[in-house]
Amino acid sequence: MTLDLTQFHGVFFEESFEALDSMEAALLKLDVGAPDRERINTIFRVAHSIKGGSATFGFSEIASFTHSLETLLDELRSERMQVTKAISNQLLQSVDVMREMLRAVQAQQPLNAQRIADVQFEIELIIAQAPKAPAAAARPAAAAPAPPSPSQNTGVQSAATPAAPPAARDTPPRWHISLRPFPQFYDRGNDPLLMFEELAALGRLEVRVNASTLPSLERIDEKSCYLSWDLMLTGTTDESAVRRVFDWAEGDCEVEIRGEHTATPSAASAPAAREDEPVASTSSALTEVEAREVSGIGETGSIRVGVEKIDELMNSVGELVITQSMLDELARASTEAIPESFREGLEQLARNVREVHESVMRVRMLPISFVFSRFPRMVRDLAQKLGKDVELTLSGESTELDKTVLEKIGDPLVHLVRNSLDHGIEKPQVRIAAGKKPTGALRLHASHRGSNIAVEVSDDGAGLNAERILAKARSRNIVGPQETLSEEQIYSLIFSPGFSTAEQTTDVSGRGVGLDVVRRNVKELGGSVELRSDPGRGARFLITLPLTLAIVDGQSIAVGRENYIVPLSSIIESLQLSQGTLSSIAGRGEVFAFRGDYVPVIRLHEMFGVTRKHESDRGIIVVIEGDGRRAGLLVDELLGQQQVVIKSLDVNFGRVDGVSGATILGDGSVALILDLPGIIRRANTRLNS
Amino acid sequence: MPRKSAPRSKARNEIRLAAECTLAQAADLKSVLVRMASSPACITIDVQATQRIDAASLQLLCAFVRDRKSQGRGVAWRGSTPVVEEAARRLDLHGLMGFAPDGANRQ
Repeated sequence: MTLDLTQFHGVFFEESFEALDSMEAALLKLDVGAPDRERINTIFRVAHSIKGGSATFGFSEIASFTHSLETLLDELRSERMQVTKAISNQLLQSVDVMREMLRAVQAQQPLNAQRIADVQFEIELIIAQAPKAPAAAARPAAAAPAPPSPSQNTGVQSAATPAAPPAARDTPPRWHISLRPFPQFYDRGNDPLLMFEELAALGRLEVRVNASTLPSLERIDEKSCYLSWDLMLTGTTDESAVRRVFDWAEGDCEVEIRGEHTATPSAASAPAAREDEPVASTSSALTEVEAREVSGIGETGSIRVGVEKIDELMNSVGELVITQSMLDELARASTEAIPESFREGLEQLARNVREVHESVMRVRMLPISFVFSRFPRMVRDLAQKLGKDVELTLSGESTELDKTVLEKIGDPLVHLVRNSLDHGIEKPQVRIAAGKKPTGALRLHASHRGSNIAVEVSDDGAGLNAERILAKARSRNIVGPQETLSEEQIYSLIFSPGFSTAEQTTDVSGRGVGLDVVRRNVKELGGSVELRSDPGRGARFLITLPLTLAIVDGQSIAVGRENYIVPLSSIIESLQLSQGTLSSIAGRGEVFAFRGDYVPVIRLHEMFGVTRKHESDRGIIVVIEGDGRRAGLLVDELLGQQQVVIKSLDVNFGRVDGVSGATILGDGSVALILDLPGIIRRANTRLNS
Repeated sequence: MPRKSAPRSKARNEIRLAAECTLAQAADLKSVLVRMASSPACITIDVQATQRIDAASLQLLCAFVRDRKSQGRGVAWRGSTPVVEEAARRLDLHGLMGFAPDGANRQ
């Protein structure tokens, strides 16, 4: 029987893409001229891991390309070559090529052999033409691992890596690793040989085998592992890097990793160490965070679970929520006396269900850094292309949101960032003439706001030119010649399909495709986009999105004999309708005064074609907010508040105007969940027409 | 399916390892080794053609050498390719497999 390695391909691709993201992030932080050696080591290790995995699975083109890249990185880490801007660009380009290769192999598509060969050739040319700097061995202050003293080797039957560069100022950390494979270890595709090679890339490795349980040849099952190993790794590496080597073997062996750091800085070596360190005011805590960022995924204490399994769990929780609502409903509707203990049990169940729901939601939550991480590279490349200097600041990267929302927010943010870079931030000479710093500032910030997440994209560029937008809108008959618009309304025109004020269409933006996509995508997610502009000083886009799309806290409302769900987070207030509250605007519908403003009224029964219970001047107005605007829903009754599981209607019925989905209520009936931004948009369109 | 790995060479006391010695070929390797295990003459293992070897195959070779040694029977290595020896060294199996530190017992 031949081992089917294809079963491991999925994990390999997933881990490789994540590793490439880490590699790219580390490359972007690489300081040309004074690179951090540990960062180069990290980049090298990522390349080495991908090379090893590719070779194991027979992806020879990837292994060959990565080998060239690894050679270049080896030159850099040993300081035989210096990191220059050209090399930094080449490394980033190599990351792109590796990503493309992995994608192609994953999709079983042909590779772009020409591009691969070109980039590989360029890498090899850089290595061949580079003036060689003296090797790191000649630099006494470098933090390279020291070879063990003869006494350390005594009595140890060891397999040691070639001699490491001498003269470290500290004794580097030592990692004692105990590898106890289970019998199925080999049969599950694990080869300690490859693991030890990876470890050897992290530092000096000593290996001691225990073959005491190896049976006689005849009794050996050739697919079972009978050996175990004790290893000692000496090198400036962290535990996560060591642990990552064994990621693939999780469940197939016992691995114990014990660190032993024996830093013994001498009085003489300390000043030398300071001289050699990069000048930076970062605190040690920040350095730790950075190190964690660089080391990337695969930290201890986490497991990798397929999304489909989480979705299954989420569905089950959804059904649990429905069942719990059903029990509540039965208890409420019961004509018989219900024992207090039963009621208490139901309340306990409701609490537990909410806790389970929140726990599962937390499992689905991912930090927005997964999306933000693409921007440093994108901004760097685009700014270079546009001849602009831009400093990108990311904040709130640890803000978590549901994976589904996270996946859909990427494209809108890319559009906004491209828009800011192309139309917002000016070229250095223009900025200097305007009395600004030549380097433009672009900021991405994420934060939680109640049950929503707010993502802000702001820049200190030219801002929006309201006059120009209006003139363009008039010239394209989007706005009538006599029509007057508020500043907010003028700004919102840039979200119209095909609208662009750019004088030149570039391949970055300016075709008028983009901002309308941003608004549409965000609205589809139940969110909104808000725009503020300060002419000459910058613009700010604020995207507000729900944290999750799976379960919402809803208010049940009744119109006639139908029940609807309004997301609770969108309700501002509910008012009893009294005579004279509503005012008619000829041919445009009705409004009512609310907190010093006039808010359009939406008669839900008219919208959905149902017969009301009450006369037209009785009922309740539910004031809602969506898309930055308000409206009042005229309903018959307010029912209870409950968590509802959103079931999509799109699959079976297509998109229904004014409805974002449906849910099953406790009594088994179906209620429609209202799409508030859609409803408000409709009401405002009518009011403004 | 033709078995390509670990063929016995024409010489009766010689085992020639295949280019690929991995888990997929481990059953074949084991059967060849078992057949040769009780041969009273010194067995020569030719590693000249071997380009890739994994821990599972090394484990078999290790057991073979150890079993023969315990019976007072010899094993010699032939071939200049460093693949097998380096792999054994990496796993700390070179001593058990009878590789001298400098590879002096290679024929």
